[in-house]
Amino acid sequence: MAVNLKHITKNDRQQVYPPSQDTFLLIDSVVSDLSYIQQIDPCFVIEIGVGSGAVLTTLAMNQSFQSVFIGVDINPKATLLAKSTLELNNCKNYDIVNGDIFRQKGFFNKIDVIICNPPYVITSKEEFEECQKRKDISSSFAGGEDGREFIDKLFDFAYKALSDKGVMYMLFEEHNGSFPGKVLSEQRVGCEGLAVIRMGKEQIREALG
Amino acid sequence: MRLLTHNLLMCNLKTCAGQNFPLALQANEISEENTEFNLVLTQKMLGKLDWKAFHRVADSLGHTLPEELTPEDQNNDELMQRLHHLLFNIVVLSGTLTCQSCGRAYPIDKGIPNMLLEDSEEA
Repeated sequence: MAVNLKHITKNDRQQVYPPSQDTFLLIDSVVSDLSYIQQIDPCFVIEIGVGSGAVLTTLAMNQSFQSVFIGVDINPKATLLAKSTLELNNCKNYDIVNGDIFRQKGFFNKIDVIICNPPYVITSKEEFEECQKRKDISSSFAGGEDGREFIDKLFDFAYKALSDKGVMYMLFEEHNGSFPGKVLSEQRVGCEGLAVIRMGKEQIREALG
Repeated sequence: MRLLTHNLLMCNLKTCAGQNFPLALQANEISEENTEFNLVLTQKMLGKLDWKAFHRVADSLGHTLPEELTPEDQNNDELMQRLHHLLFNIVVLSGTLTCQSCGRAYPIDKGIPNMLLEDSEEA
């Protein structure tokens, strides 16, 4: 059963990154890898930058593994929209947190699956920092130098937050570079070369350099 | 916010080390859901839980739990059902999370805890 997103209004789309081609590439890639997630038998699945909630809701609707689903976003409007998406699709065992993920030290060593479609668009360092401060839709795309500033912080956080068996599913764009892990899918969307990768804890450590 | 999530949250201020966990919960509005008892997920969650923090927050809501959890408790069906209810079914819709060290209060509104800092606090 596909996730119902009909409640998302034009106004929402101006304030929260709406379900887009990269969103669906991430959904399809993670869903194609469900047998791997089942094998991990996760307790906590978190999505960093939950946005509209489309990805997290799709996973929470899936009955093939028993887990708790937590979505975190810095944009208050996104947390409200994600919550209504989860509610509308009758999900259970979920929670939403409004905050800066990189300050959530209480997550360390507890998370089994991290999902993230990070801000990967190349901008100046200043624009990246400014957008993170604004805590609005701009924080969902401005990625700083090489579109890597958020991604590099994400690797550092993921390495600390993941349990030993934990994995991260991350979408990225070819200008961000290449990363150790299993590439699950690749797709060209306009001028962007998108890919979704699954990285284990060791591969994340390797990416940290 | 469910109590399982309370178990993951600490004061976000960098200057606040030490007693920044657990946050004290003041619940103004609570809804109780009625999801089916799930023993597997409850047992899995117990492996992740900081029991002391959970014990304390449950106590603050008027639910007394054993000081420590023994391996045999995992087979105590009545206790497991209570824990499932506390972890998954109790949703704090509005209230406050307060750091016991620095006193910073984080509001919970529409069931969502707001851990965001002001620009002046970000350093």
